[in-house]
Amino acid sequence: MKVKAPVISLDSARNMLEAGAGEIYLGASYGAFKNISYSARGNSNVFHPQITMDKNELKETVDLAHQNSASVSFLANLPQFSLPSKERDGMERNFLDYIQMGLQCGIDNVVLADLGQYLLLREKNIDIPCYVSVYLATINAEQVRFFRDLGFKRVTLEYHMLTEEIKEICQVEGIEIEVFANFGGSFLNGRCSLYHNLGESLDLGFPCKSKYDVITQGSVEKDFPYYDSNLYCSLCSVGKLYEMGVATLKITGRETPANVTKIIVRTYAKCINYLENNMDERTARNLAFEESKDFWNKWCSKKRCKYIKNNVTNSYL
Amino acid sequence: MKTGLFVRHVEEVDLQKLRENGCVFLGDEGCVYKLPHEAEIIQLKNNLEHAEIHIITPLVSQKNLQYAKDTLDELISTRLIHSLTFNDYGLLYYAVNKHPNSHVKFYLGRLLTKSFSDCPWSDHLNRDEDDSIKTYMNGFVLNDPRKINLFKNMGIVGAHLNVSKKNIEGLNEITETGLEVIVHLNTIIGAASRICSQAQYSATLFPDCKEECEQPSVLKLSKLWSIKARGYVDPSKEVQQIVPDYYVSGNITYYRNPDHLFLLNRSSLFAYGIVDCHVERLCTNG
Repeated sequence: MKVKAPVISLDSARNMLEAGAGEIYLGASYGAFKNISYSARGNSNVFHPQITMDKNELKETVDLAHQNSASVSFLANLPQFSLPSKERDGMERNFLDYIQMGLQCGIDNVVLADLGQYLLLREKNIDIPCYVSVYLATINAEQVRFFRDLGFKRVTLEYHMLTEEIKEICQVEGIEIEVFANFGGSFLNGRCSLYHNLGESLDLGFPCKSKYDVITQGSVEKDFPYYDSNLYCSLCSVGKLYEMGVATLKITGRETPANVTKIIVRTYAKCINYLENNMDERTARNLAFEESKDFWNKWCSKKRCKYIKNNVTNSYL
Repeated sequence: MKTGLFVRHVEEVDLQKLRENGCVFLGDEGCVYKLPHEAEIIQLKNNLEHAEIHIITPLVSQKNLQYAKDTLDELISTRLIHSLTFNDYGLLYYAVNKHPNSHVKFYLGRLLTKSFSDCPWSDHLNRDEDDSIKTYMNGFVLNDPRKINLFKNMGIVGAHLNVSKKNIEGLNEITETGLEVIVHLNTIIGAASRICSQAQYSATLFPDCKEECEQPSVLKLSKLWSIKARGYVDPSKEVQQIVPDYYVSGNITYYRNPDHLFLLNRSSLFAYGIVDCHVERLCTNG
């Protein structure tokens, strides 16, 4: 199992690789868009004026990753690939050029969020492993089979899963499974249209962390964080995920300060390293935790654990 | 356009209304527990022999996958339903392989046809993009010949869509492919979760949660959680204007389609126009 880390620049790639990332994921600034990008984020966010790379920086970053034996996932997962006939040729060409630019820079795989994008790459005989983005909202094994039979090589599951479900899904042969290590909103990523972090100028906030006046059957509750069920951490589940054969633990964080993401990557990478050295899951978790104890205590005290039974996961349908 | 009533539970079906419309879409886009069973379908048919019964199936988690498959098999075997709408690729794939020559029509649901224009503030996100990108981003995700071929080969004959003034331009191209278009007249889906927000809010679990979601909760934005401020802030006037009230039914968040009347004037484009009875009732009652 590898830790897959977010990268927004050559400098952040150095940090993530140094922290132990075995894979990195990134997007490029290219083509027809201004604020929006093919990487399912804006080209900028509140902490960083630029989170996508130009071709030169992309090439240097891919080379650096390969020198460190890490692979590179190229994000082409903007969950919108509608092709109105008058725009069709231009947008297809633009998308293909974006992918070609990644290929010229040496990327190892492409992350897609739309079946049309995938079918286009196959039609053009572009031979690169394609991974299913979280934006295709996979939460069951039958959907994993669907994507495998289409030819995808890996599926990223949604944030909202339970360990026993991931175990069953990992039984599907012929395709790798990726799960999220940290954070994530209360909605299914791939089934949420309340977009933010797309380079907006208005502060739209995070809809699933915001507060609402809630009206139910005649009564009103003011300022209630109705959707706030974000789960933060999966460190206590890493041993089980490792045993099940999960291929990658994905760290989110393109909109998180780099020093925070680096600690998260390092802790998960160390935990996996201990497991690879035959340490039992509890000891591996505790040792990794101890090394950045002050940081992790902050999250741990909130008891918002991913993948295990708690007040949030009890409400899972 | 035929008008279909969207009703979550069989016992909520208003027989008088159904007699007038003759067409009901039963089930839910997010909750597996709202799938009807054979006995309920038979009873409904006994009450209204000529009613057209369509079933909406939800997104399905791994823990509910077997239950959903079994219920789907049971529903198809009744030979009393007109169509099945899929909101989960996994359940669709299962149905395609298990029932390849089914007499039941297969439709894509709104969770599988979700498009950028479903975002209430998509025009703001698009604000600086060129016109061609605005057209692209306001199109229907389904509007792609390769995808449509794939789905047609899987036996899909139609699709539920969120349609508004923003994206109406692209609708003709979809209807020209021969797919039936099913439009939801009074709602657009804002988001779906695996967490049942209504059950969580009322601290109940299935089956006790059933009463809680017979009436949607209404949410009005009061404080934004801002990553910039690292905390809660008051929404600006502009944000207040573009963030709609939300209607939460189980694990699905809807908002009212602002272009309901506009759609009624274009009804010749649609095979079905669906009215969500939950939201309709809530709005009628103020």
